Amino acid sequence: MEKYKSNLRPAVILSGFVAFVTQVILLREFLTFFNGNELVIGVILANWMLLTGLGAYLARFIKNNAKITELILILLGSLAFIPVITVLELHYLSRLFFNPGVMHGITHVFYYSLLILSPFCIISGMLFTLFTGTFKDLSQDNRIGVIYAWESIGSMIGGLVLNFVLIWFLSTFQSLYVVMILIVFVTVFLSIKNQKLLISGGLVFVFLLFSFLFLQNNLDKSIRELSFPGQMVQYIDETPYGILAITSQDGQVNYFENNVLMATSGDVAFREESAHFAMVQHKNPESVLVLSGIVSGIMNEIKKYPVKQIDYVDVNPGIIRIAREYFNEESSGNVNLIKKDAIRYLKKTDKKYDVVIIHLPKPSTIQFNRFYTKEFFSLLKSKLNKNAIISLSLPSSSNYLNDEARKLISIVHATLKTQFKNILILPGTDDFILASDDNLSGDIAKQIQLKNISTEYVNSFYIHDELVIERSKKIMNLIDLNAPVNTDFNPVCYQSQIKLWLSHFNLRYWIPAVLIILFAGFFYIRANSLNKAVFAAGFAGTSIEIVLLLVFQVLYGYVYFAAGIFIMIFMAGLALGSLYWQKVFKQNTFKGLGKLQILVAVFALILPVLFYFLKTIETNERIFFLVFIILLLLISILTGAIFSVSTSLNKDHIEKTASDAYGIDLIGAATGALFFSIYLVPILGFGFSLVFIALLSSLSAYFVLRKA
Amino acid sequence: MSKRMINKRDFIKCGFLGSCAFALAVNKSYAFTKGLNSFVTGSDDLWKWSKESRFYIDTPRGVKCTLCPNDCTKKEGETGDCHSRVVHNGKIYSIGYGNPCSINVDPIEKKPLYHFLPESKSYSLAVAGCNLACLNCQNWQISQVSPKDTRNYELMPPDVYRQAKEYSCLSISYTYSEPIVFYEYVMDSAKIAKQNGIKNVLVSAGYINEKPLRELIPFIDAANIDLKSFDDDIYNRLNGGKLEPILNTLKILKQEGVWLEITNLIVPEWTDDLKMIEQMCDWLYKNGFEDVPLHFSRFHPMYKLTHLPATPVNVLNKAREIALKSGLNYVYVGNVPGSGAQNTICPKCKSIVVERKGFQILQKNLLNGQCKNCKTKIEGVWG
Repeated sequence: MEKYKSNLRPAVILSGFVAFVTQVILLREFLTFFNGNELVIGVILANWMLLTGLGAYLARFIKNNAKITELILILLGSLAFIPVITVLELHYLSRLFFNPGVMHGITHVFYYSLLILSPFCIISGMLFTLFTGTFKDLSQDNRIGVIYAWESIGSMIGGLVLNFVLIWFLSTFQSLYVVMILIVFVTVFLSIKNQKLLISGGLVFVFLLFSFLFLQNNLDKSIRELSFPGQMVQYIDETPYGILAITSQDGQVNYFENNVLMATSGDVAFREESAHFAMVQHKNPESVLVLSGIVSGIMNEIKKYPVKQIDYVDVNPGIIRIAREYFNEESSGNVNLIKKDAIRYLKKTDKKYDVVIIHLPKPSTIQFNRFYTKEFFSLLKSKLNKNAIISLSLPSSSNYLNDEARKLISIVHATLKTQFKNILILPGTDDFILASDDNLSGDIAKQIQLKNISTEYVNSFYIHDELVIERSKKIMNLIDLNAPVNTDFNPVCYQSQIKLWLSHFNLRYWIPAVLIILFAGFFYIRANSLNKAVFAAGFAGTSIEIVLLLVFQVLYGYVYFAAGIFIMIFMAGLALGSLYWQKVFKQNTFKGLGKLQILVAVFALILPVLFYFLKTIETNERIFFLVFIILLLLISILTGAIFSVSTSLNKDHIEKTASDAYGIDLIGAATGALFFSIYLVPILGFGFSLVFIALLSSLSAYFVLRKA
Repeated sequence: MSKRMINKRDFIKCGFLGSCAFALAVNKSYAFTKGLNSFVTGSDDLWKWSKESRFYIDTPRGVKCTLCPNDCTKKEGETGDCHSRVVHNGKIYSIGYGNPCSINVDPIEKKPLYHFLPESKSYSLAVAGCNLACLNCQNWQISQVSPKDTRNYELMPPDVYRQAKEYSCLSISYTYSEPIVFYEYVMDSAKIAKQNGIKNVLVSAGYINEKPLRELIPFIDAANIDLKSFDDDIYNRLNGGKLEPILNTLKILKQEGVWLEITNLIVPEWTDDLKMIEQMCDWLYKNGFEDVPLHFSRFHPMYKLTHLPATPVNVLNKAREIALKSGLNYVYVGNVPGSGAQNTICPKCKSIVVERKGFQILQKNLLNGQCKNCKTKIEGVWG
């Protein structure tokens, strides 16, 4: 019996490992042709969890215990190859279903991700139920919590390997090949140990076929070329922040990030507008800071002024590499390329600037929202010289601002207004928003002429100052002066950006919310008290993980390693909680479970107070990091413990308990990922959203304690 | 086992049906949202800015709009594909009359019109709605919605003329969205403007039936028609329209003596096939459009076409060469600052007749509409 247990333990760990690594890789691939906003990411992750839950459910019907080990080995072995097929499918089928270059709406995201993710997720979910069934047979004991823990350990190792090795050094298919080798090796080893030689032989054969496929084809190149039809792919850099591509076509060079065009050689209008609209405003700009957007060629425009120093900051090392190799930016001596998150850089630097030009990503996610907050602009202002100018841009209103675009620009205006006396919006290829304590003027062409700056586009031939000023006035008149201010803890900006995106498809913002509530609510209401607890824990765990990740980024700045460590810590906490809570605290009762949920509620309520405290104090970075690690560990231990205790209290047959609990845990987590970040946070802010979590946990605790 | 626990039947139902319901509901919600916009507020009242159309017929299936080739047949309260014409009491009303959502003063070269009152200002306005649904629409925030969804100005036809005069504009451009869908407003504004010496410019995709077009033409002085491609399948997939009616519009405008210029936006992967461009140019030449200026315009990622690069300038130049080779006399490249292909070249002596930079004319070698060098007539309305 024990021999079997030790045999299958690597299989459980491996399934967690593969699920985590594949999830991150597939999400990155999905985002190369779906827009990477919070809603799209949420829908893909939610589909992932729902399909996994479905797999767990389906597996409970598999009754043939004699063949269960074979089935586990076959399914596990198939996970070696399915990710490769999935990535190929994802790219090749897109040619079949979608027109070239088209941005897709949420319905397409839902259907397509559901279709593409089904094989992997369903098998991955099935394995969980099958593992629990097998372990019950072996140990005559309910070991669901233990399986959950081992799977979490697998995910943790997956996070470790992915975030520190694969994502930095290997391409998509190289990473998947490594995963394939690992799965085949472990599964063949287990097959031989279990005397299933046919399976091991079959696996090796398929592996050789796939290896041949890898050797004969450059799969990475094939899928990238498919993404850029009619163009020659010159350069690909799969960075952790996104896939960068440089292509050429009829003498033109295009720069893409996740298949969205960042810049095109010869795009004079955007390059000149983004530099000169801000630069001409300052009497004597000596020090300039540029936050992202170097590939537009903006630096050469800035150099037309007598600047002493231009600092360029970008979190993506891939962009810095391109700046060095393709733009030769450091050759002029006064350009300084800095590889850092913008907030982190601003917190550390002692320099002060005359002009700051911001091309940071639009506030389409909760993470990017932090570059449009009162706190960010306040931090920025502390690094400005007197009468400095800052400039940022939002998509062009062209000839009309719809309500969503108007709201977005009004929020950014209101937020800037908390720090700067004057704000001017100038229409161009984008809407450029300038802010300063000094006067700002719309007569750009005149100023360019006065300063004797040589330009191709920003001049009186193309820009009629009086017409630009007239259009600018129209936009300024549309600004809602009562618009809310975007802050770190009340991030309202990205909600407007999502609404603006949804308006492309005539879809109302609230409709997905209603569907999520109906769907999740249905499961919650139908679940027994134990599964209600699991749902609430899944919801709270995911939501609080998101909160901690974001608040850390807001207060500390974004560091990829830190994000990676956070995810691993969360997985480790889940494993610890589900493995050891019962052993240590002996609270294997309804009352104990209720207490655990109340602890989650209290934890959620304490967090806003703690955040406020952390925001006001200056502390050592290591201590700061440690505090967040401890917080993450606490919530994940509690989540793991709730899963483990509730499944062990369930007296139903084990496959049913496992699939129900696992399914509802995933539905809770999916709801957390979607509903919390897309609706609760922008509407209620972090503080009240955490209160909502506390209420949900308390409600679920009430149902459990009633049974006690 | 608790009675409230999810049983396997429930779980299957919930899992599958729930997912399907989500997907369907998201899909349905799209239609529902569209449906919401399809009804006039207070169905017994006339919309404040409504004007009865003269182009519809009653059919057993509903009221059929005969303004454009979409041939929408709608029931009471429903809106056409253009979002701006609604069936009310068995009649079709245009609901954006005197109700523009966007008004600007633009250089006429921005339309683009290079041979029509150069360097003049044009009073430009739009009412929400469009009878096409281009994936790359620059003005999607107004073209894909109803006038009920936009913030509008109240500007009746006499006010349009007055405003244009106040801003010293020589023309009024009906532009940005699609003037065909606010036909009645264009007609009435154009009549007043024409009577008072202000020209009228139609910036349109030309997707209109012959009868309404012929009735409008007497009041229109110039038009820029967007010939989006020369392939019916591409028209269908990229724009939601058909090619033939647009070619017909071009012929009629030409026959009726409206000053005409044509724009062709070259979208990578969609309309950048040089063979197709050659066919288009050959058709234009064979049908007597050799003196009609043709503008090849550069695409930039827009609206739903965001995963494409901008059009390479070389492709635009190649298209221009093809057009010149086909026998077209005035071919320009647009949206490319600094391009030399903005100048008007005399088709006979090849000297520069009008040298442009941006929206300004640097040099004009024209006298009474003729090339100063060789006296060849340069077609246009030169003012």
